Amino acid sequence: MEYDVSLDCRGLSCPMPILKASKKIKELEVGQVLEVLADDPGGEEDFPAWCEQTGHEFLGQEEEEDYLKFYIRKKA
Amino acid sequence: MADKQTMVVVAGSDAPENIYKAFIMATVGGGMDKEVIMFFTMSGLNAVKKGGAEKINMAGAPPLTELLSQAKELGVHLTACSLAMKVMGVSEDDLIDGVKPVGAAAALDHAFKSDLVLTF
Repeated sequence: MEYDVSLDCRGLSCPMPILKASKKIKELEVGQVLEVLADDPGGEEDFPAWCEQTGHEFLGQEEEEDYLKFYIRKKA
Repeated sequence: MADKQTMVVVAGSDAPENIYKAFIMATVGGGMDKEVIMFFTMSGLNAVKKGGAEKINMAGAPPLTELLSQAKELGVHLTACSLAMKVMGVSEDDLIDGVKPVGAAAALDHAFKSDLVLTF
């Protein structure tokens, strides 16, 4: 999936991927897409939940061999 | 977002299994753009004493000092139970910067006005 900014959270456990993503997305313009690479097993539930609560749009995830890629579009 | 949702996290113990849960929920709440108030009472107060977070650790989890600095950066409000301060002999000077002593009435006022209260 296309993205504007990528954030590598591989090797980090909960809650750091979400905390790092919430910080990083503040640097994006509205409408831009953030990619997050993560291997914490909670991520698959966590990133959609974080989007649900913040209003950012969860665009989906892609699987690599040993990690996941999450795509989030920044909302106002 | 004019009406931010608010959450109160009561941290009543410095046992790693409790204080970690309190900090994780508070920081992620901040990361979800919520207004977060932490209320440190009884031994939970040790986490916000100067040098206190350094003494609490849990293998495999991020250092508590890291979660504490994340909480501050996210604008989490840190409040300390004034009775716990008295019984534990903790002065305002013993607390890290930015921790506000409050009584039970203020803590309850925050809790009644919040959308979510978590107690650990």
